[in-house]
Amino acid sequence: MAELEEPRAWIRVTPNAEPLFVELGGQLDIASLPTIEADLDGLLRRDPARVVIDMHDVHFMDSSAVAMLIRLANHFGDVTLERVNPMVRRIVEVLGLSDHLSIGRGSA
Amino acid sequence: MTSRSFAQTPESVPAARAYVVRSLPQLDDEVRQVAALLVSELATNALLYGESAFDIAVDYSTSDHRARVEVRNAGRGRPTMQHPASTAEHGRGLQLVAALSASWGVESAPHGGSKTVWFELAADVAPPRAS
Repeated sequence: MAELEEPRAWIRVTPNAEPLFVELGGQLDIASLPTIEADLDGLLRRDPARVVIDMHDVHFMDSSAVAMLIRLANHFGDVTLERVNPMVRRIVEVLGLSDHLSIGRGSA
Repeated sequence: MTSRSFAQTPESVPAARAYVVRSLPQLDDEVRQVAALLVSELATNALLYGESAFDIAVDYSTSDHRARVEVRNAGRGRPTMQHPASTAEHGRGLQLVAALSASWGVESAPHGGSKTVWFELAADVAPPRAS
């Protein structure tokens, strides 16, 4: 069954980058996000800094992922989403979150 | 109309998306992505706030080119739309359903105990894009 083979969520943090560089990928929903919870908690223990999140490999996300991105933005203060697909852009814009989660120039 | 039952587990959320996408081959890719997003929201709500497994029914009307998706479960609570501050983490699922569907609503069974949340999408006319 194809639905059982859907890629899970993944996260990669590049240490010592300035701004802090985070890559997210997979299908981000309530089923997959708990699998990256420990990495997210680790990220949230870092001091507030400018953060760039590369969303290039995010193939799907829903409001569960929005909650996670807002948590990161609340902690770090300055979060830019780069290389978002048109659907992610639409979600951020329709929810009126563009001020809190800026969408970078490298996005579709 | 086709329908399928889903267990009240997190894995049912991606499974519900896959089911709806498969059941609506008539939609173009952009509208199908919206259908996947909105059913993901309703399935997540059924998982978090329902009291049972949930059923998803999918229908496509060839006369008016509309897709209809229904999520039904036991549970008396009525979903209410919230207007979270931009720093609030939760409460945006129904906001997405309201913003991106052609229409949506909630129906309670006459004797209570179960409710259906539904949305419809126009196949040929996507809701206006945010600029």
